[in-house]
Amino acid sequence: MSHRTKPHSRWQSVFLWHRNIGLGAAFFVILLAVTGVMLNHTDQLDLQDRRVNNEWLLHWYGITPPKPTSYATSGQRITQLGSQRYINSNPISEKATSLLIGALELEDIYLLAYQNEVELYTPQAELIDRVRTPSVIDAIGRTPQGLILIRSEQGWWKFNDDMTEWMPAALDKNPVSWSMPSALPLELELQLRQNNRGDGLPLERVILDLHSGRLFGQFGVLLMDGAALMMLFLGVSGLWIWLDRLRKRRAHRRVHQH
Amino acid sequence: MPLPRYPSVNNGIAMKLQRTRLFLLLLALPLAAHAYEVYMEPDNFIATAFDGAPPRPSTLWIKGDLKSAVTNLLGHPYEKLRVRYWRKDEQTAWILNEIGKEKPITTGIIIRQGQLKTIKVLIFRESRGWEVQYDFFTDQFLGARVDDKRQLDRHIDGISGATLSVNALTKQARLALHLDHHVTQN
Repeated sequence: MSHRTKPHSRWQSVFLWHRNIGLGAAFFVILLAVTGVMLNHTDQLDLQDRRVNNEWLLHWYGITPPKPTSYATSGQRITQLGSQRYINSNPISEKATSLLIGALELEDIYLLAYQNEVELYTPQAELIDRVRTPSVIDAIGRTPQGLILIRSEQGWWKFNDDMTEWMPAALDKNPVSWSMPSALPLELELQLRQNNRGDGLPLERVILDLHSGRLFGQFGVLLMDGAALMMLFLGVSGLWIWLDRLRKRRAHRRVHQH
Repeated sequence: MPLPRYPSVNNGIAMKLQRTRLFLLLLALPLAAHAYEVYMEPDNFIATAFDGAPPRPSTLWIKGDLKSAVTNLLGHPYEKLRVRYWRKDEQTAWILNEIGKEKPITTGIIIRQGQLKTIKVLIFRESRGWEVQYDFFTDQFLGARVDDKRQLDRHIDGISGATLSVNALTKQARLALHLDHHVTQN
């Protein structure tokens, strides 16, 4: 007596494929569902503003921590870390678009110099005003008399009394103390790095790349393509199984009615 | 007589191609939207506002009660604590920034005797809503005043697809009228 197994019917074959592929696709379905829901609620979950601090991920994305540029003013510190700027440890809400080239403090007003403009801030890091420079400058400094000067290849300029305009200044014979970068105290540097919400790596980017598979490069994209095909098959095979069962149930009912 | 099958097939393909082109064109439209456009340099606006002879700029500090009023009007603090303005005879001119969706829209506004005389978008940095630069929109503000609640004395019709830019310009108009009132009354 032979024990030949009965060959699978077409229905059984599709059902087996549906079950096996379903098991294989389960991980991707969960991953896509979770990341998809998160991406649908980016604003509520604040994904754009949250930064990833995981060293492995930062390294994977090729993001190296920015080097701080820091200037000491009368006992205070003005620091730029990437596009984020700080007055001591108070972050300035607006992102920098160019590199800080000097900083001074004058009667509780902080002057942050860039190549094309000087920004005035309160100690609480509130922007007072922006004053454009007459040409591209490379330094900001002050005389022993407290006169604020900026320097460019075309010459020197001094601030008017209410700090709204630059006026040509004669090259001063008195020594001008030009603002120079200096090393940031280690404790403050650690504090700023911890709080740094600069460019960094937004959580949204990671979730998006996880959703599309791009987190693992071209291989990840192909893997997600495969997952999509698996889900497509599950949809079609599930429908096919349901229709087949429905047809059989109807046939069965018809036989019993007769 | 045989039916002209091939020409009709060709016409069908041509129509499909036409539709595809139109679809691609529609898709590309947002990309063609203005991203950063300087319509007029602020210095030129001020020079024009005073017939080529602008006065020296004055500064207004937004602090204390004025800061509260401005914050209330805009829904957030103004981007700077000090605003520069130009004043001559009974006219003031303002260059104000207000974020539409993500980036500031720079607008020049002239107020004469408490009434808005000119409003012009000078620099537009957003990717959408640039239609607010056109006269058909800005002309609605001409002659406008603000009431005690710092609201405009008229309704401003919006532009579909440019709601945030419309809101930004409306706030700028209200702010300029309020600041003008502040400097002329004090």
